[in-house]
Amino acid sequence: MAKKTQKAKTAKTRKGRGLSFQALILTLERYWIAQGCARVQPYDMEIGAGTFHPATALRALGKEPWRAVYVQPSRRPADGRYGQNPNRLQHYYQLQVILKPAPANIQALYMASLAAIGLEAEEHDIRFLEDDWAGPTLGAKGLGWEVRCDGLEVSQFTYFQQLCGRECDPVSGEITYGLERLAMYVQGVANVYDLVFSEDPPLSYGDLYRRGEREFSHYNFSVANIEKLLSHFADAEREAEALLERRLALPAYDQCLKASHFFNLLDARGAVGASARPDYIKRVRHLAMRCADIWLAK
Amino acid sequence: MAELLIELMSEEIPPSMQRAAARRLLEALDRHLAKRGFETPTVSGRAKDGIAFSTPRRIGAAMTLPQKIVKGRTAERRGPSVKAGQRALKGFVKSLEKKARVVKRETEKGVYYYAISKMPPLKLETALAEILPSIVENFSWPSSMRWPQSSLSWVRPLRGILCLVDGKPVSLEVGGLRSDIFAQGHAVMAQKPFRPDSFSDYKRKMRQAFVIIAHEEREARILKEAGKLTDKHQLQEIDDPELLQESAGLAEWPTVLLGELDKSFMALGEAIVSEVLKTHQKCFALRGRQGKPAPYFLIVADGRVRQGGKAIIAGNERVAKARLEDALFFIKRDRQKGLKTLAGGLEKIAFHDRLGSMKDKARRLEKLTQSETLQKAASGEYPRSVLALSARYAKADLASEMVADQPRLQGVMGGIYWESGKKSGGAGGGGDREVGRAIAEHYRPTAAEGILPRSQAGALLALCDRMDALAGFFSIGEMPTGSKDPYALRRAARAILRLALESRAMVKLFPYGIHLRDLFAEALEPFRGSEELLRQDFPIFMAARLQEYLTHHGMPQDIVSAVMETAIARTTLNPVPIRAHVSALESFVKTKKGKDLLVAYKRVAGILAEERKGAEGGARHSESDLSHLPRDVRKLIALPYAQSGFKAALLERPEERELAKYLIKPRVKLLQERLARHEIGEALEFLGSLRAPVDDFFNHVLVHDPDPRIRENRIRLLANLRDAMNEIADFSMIQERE
Repeated sequence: MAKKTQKAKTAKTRKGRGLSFQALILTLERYWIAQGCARVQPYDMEIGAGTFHPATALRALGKEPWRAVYVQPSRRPADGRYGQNPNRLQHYYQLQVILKPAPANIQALYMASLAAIGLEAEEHDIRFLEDDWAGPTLGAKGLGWEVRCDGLEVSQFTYFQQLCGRECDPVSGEITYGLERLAMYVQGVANVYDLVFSEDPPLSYGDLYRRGEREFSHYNFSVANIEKLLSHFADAEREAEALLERRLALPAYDQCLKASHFFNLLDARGAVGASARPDYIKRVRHLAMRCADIWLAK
Repeated sequence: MAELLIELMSEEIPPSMQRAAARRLLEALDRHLAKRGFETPTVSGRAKDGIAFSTPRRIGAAMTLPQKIVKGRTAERRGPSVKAGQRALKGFVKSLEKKARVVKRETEKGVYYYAISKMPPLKLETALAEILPSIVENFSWPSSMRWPQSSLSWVRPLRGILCLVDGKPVSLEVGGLRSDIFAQGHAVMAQKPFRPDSFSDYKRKMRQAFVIIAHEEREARILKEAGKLTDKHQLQEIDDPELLQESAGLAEWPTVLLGELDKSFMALGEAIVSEVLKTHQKCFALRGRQGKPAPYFLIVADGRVRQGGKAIIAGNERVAKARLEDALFFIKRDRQKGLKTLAGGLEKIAFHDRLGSMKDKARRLEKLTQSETLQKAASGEYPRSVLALSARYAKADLASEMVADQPRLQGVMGGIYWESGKKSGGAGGGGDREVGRAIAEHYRPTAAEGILPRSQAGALLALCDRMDALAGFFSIGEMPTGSKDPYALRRAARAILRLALESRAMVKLFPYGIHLRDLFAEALEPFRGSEELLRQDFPIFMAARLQEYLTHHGMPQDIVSAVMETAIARTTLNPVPIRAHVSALESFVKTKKGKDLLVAYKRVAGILAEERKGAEGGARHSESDLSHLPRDVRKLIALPYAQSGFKAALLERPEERELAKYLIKPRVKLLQERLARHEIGEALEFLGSLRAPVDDFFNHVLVHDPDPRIRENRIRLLANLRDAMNEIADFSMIQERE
């Protein structure tokens, strides 16, 4: 009980220093909803980044206009640090915005979103640093920047040129906010686990996620059963093939995502040799490309 | 007088591309305008009348031209050949306008009729409306993209085109984008677009709108502001041209701020602190007046700052702190593992899909450092065991967390971990200091003119590392072609040459150099590369790099080429004697003897060329027929009477018998042996001794003797003379000296 009041106090003293984690998400979502984005729900599977969500990976293909914003829990098994590193997580949150076609004022829209969470361009140093992006497992390529605010990388900004091996026409703009980092900056916190998740109830990021980081790090690095993972990967790949035969794009794409995650786990487990790696990536990409074909064919 | 101003505004352009792009814009404008008859800066020779400028969000060009209009232009059209007859000519004339003149003109394909007609005067505005769209459409960027509002391809979305002649906007359209009337200033600081009425007005108003359009001026501004801060805090001035240039490419209105670090981070050492600050944050690490690293750094922000840039400084300090804490954390964990454990992790890191893992690379490297070629060539004690150990652990830090985070610290971290392993008696330790140094230095030189390894083992490891890369990529057919060199093999080859020729440690151990071809052969073994690579591809590739190197260092092109043509240079590819050979020959051809011999050589070559034409007539092979043959064979075929003997019994005159003495087989063999031992002085002495007999020969002997057998024998004798001289250099490539 005593512990809890103490936490409440910490949360309070931080109040006014910046938005809580959940308030930050809400503010950004509201902002983008006002720009005509559909607020889509997170995808219910283990994926490495918001780009893999069908709301981006598939919807950014084809001609129909599309605008969406969503939070996507993202898993990068090899990035786990047992809950000990103040900056690294194997599970974290991205806020993803996808605008198709990318509007001419997309940079200005983005700057205004930063202002909405208290980062006014006049007071801060906001820069666009060259960062061309490629997602080999998804057969994706784009040009853009990483956006820095006072030296801190707060977003990835990409004009998609290619997704699932297909040319993007029209070109979409993708904006990805690294929510933990952004919140740490806004709140002035040096350790991710000290983030104020919510003020009432008074919760820190650590309260919610530290245990998971510890346990999943053990799982990812030393416990996950390699043989099972290998067979899971093969199963998912086979299942995807079978679904592609039946021309069921979305179920097949799910299996492709599964395969991708099993690959990431195998990688974290140290079970992917240097020469085998390109082959795994190629196999996943191949599935993604075929899913896209069927998706586009309707 | 007319003034032209063009500005192409886009979203943020990578700093490394801005200046070159602006120059290309200016050049393209100049070229296209000149083609249409305008007196551009290149035409007039007044280069300062053309200005290229760039900022993170724009490239531009301004030009002053003496006239705004081109009069008296003519257009030409080619008609039928004069052989085509009257009818064709009539048809042609009929198709022309009335005022056109018809003339005959000789061309490569024969004589043709041409129609010349007058054209209306061309206005600069009209020309631009035609030129600029084509320049923009065909502009080449190192990487470019598409975006929705336009059909163009540009480095980042092109958002504005400003094209002014004498301050007045020229209306034009490119890829769905119309030219603007207004110019825009700084993205954040400036609000209202403005209308410039001249280039100087544009510059002034841009400045008011917080944009300095000249890159150099932004660099100067950074230096000036940085200087004020370093002075004030008793620090050394910044000295990092690379980061300075990048910083000026990242801000339209650079403003320099001072950040502070916790002193405890200084324990990380300068290499790590400055690398973290530079690559991640584009910040300048600083040193105190005595040269010691100081707990300060400089931030270059964009735009005018509020409240002394408090928020910006605080933000950057916090990021630097997090980064450096990460570094401490990574290093702690890496040290716990030690180099041996890290080296085990190399299996998971690919060198290249088809060339195995970094572990394979380390294994090959260890073997190559024990190379026979190297050990044989060493004049002192070859550091065998140090090299074996350093090769084994050279790549281990690639598996470390610190290098995963800061790739440019590769090598440096390995050296540090080796040292700390030694202290703790842990894995990888127990060896001597030399190993750590070799690991730390073996990626040098990291830039074309970057510093070289200081230690012997470091230099050797650096050499072997590159040779392994060349052999590997060559074996899978990934040689550089044209402008494509994805694995930077040319750079690797240049590094090898610098190591062999400039590294003090290397020159001391290998005063007579290293046969690069032999070393390549050893490096090729594990890849089971084909014989062809060793015989053809590698020598041609490496010879070209060596030629570049030597001419870059001021040696005359023709002599370098002539020496590189000799069999001995191509087979050993030992850069040390080749360089000596070139410089000795350079002095020689300036002497009286040398000049005379060169003249004689050309005369001989002329006689032999005539002879070939006569003897072979039309049946001669054209170059292209022979293209499938190896280069050396091709050369031999191209040389008439190459390597043909002569008959002593047919030598009639004493002068030709005298000359023949110098060209008998044993003497030529001796010459070849001397060259093989790289005794260039002796070889040139031989060359010098030829002068008198050659002069006598030409003064007293008539080559074209009526007796065909004697004549042919004389021709053969001269061919022998040429061949002997060619052992030293291909004199046909050498120009006569003043």
